Amino acid sequence: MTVFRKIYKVATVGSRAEGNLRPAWADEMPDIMPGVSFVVHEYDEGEGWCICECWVSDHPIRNHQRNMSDLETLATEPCVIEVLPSHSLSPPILGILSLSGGGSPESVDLKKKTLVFQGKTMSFKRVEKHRTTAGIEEDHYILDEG
Amino acid sequence: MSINIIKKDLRKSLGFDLFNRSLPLTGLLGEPSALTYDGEYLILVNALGHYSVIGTGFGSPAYQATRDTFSLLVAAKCFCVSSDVNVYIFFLEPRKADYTNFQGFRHDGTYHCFEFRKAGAEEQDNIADQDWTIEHEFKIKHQKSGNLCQGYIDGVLKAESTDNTKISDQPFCIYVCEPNGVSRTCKLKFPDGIYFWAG
Repeated sequence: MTVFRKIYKVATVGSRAEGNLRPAWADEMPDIMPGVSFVVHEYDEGEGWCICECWVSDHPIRNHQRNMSDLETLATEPCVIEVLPSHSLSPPILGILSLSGGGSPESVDLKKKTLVFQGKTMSFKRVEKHRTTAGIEEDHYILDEG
Repeated sequence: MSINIIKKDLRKSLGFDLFNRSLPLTGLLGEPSALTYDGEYLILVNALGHYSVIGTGFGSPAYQATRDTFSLLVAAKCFCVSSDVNVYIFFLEPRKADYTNFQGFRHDGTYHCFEFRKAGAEEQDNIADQDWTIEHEFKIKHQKSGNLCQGYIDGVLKAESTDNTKISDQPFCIYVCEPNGVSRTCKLKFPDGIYFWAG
């Protein structure tokens, strides 16, 4: 299972003054390509562009399992100005998929590193401990990251 | 001679608009944590091992609105006084501590991020180049349909998810400044406190 990433220079809509400066595809993304997540690293409001790093995953936890070919298709959207090879603010880990909470996995096989969630068997990379907003410690299964 | 009073302008000049969009707040404090007001900020001083927070309640307009099919747009201006590590700065939960349906901004110990959770399934989007020890306006736009959740900082969109297995469709209370068990001081600008965003 892999997290796929791509960096785009995208036209913006809205304004900082109105509190809604965003990539032009932001509100339409559920219709353009559901299952895409993104972080915006940089805006140039004067010139009307931003640097937007999108990521998808082919892990079965995702409602829409996607890969690099989907990100290449996204590059053909009219609001995309260009595709960039890198950006100084692109973090080593951009997206993490995980599972936790009381009873969320129906069963866990620690040897095979698999779990069952909502009837689907899926793999995980490792188990961590984390605390909820009430301070309760629970197992946190990292499914995919990158 | 007649005097023409424009009620909308009068209300604005008297500050009513400001308070109309503000949501009623409550402090959930673990003793000996404290919540005070200095005339500009609500100041939450959290004691070690406690999970104090400022938030809205079940009866708030935001909670009632998200029981239906309302797209929630809420915001707050806040910051941590010293370190921002581990803090849950601005987030939605159906009730305090229902972390399985959390949506919002936090620092996870390594990264500033926006988390989207539903029934325990979580997506984390890491946001680089952040400093939450200075005041920012945090804003969440959440569609109850579960198809879209966006996190804004200072009027620009920073993170978005469109995966509806991670975007909870619960009715939400809204919370700010939860230091996650660490001894820490956080400040919420008041007014507006937590408010509906009209943008």
